[in-house]
Amino acid sequence: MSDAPDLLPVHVLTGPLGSGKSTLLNRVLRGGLAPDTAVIVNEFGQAGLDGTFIQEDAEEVLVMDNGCVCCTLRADLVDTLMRLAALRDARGWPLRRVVVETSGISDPVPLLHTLRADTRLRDRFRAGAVLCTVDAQAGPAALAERPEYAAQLAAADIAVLTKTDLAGGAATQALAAAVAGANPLAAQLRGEDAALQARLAAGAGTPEAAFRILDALPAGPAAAAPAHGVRHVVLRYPGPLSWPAFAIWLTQLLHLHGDRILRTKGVLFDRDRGAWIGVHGVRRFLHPPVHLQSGKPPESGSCLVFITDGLDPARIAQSYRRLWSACAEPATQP
Amino acid sequence: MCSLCGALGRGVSWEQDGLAPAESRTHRRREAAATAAELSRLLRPLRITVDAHPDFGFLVSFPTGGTQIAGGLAEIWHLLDGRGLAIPDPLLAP
Repeated sequence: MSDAPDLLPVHVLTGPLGSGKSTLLNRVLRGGLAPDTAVIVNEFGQAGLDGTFIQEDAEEVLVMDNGCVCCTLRADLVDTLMRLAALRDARGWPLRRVVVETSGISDPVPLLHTLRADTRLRDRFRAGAVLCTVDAQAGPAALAERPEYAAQLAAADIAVLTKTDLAGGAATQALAAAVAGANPLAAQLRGEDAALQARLAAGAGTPEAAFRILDALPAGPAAAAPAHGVRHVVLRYPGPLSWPAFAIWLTQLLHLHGDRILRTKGVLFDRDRGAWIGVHGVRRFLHPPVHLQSGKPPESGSCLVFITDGLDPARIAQSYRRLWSACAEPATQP
Repeated sequence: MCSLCGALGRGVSWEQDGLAPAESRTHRRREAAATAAELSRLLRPLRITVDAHPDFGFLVSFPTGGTQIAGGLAEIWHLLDGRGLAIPDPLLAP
């Protein structure tokens, strides 16, 4: 997401227990990404995931097996990534990306925070894409089994529907609709390993591509998704906004309600810069804002999407409308 | 670590991090001043004023006379939380 090509992307592979994370990762590595990919496997408990199998292919596999990455292992994660950086420097290893496979009940957000907050990591690594596997055979009902699953899916940039060959066409279609309802911001892939490999090889896409998914979303609130109280709203308003006012509003909103705002993504035209800016957040974690080389005219307006859990998105819509109304007033020169 | 600290970028605040390397220092200073003015307006009920500082973000002045430095917006909200002050909720109508 950031404009920092020298920083290694750290992609997070998450998803419910048994949804096929390791199988997917093995396939992707064997498809050509192994030589320049490091894999960190976060095992939880005694059950080994697939470390040996992965190790056949990956240049370097590090297993963190002392607990769940979102609870206790952030210091270990920092050490592990710095070990990778040292290996890269010492061996001249053409490392291009890191994939962290989390345990099935992990929350990916603390991992993202760690990448930004640790002063050593943020000079070497950046947050990449969040990938979430969703088991088509288990169906939409499985998403509601645990609140962690809804949060994992909401955080995803790419949702990979797995076991579609076992589930059949109708069940896969039903799951795809449920996933789109729970996270309309996620690109969906179904057994398209080549497409996933290409995305990861390209650093999970250009900034423009990452925000293009917003173009197709219809404005307005959506019905509740099948997972807990997850809902989303697509807010579109014509004309430019003031970046300082927007930044204050968004950080204030996330500070107070970030526990219930699973995801934020949008593009807006900053009237002072005369430029489009992309914003992207997972709960209280905000990726750096991105300058977009968009050919859209300013009048085409901003688009902002929120995915919430236990918070009526209509309240955010009302608040955003007030902000937009204030921004529509003539700008005051500081 | 508090989760919002992760929002801070490399040496600058989230709201300025990554925006545009080519942007002039003058533009950034003007934007920081506009942000400080908007914050002061927002926080007037708490009798808090915010000033932009070219080197380290913001100076937050409290009605008791104390002043604290904040690197960015996220840090300002934390400062207010730390002092037990009620941050205005954007979901509540003014």
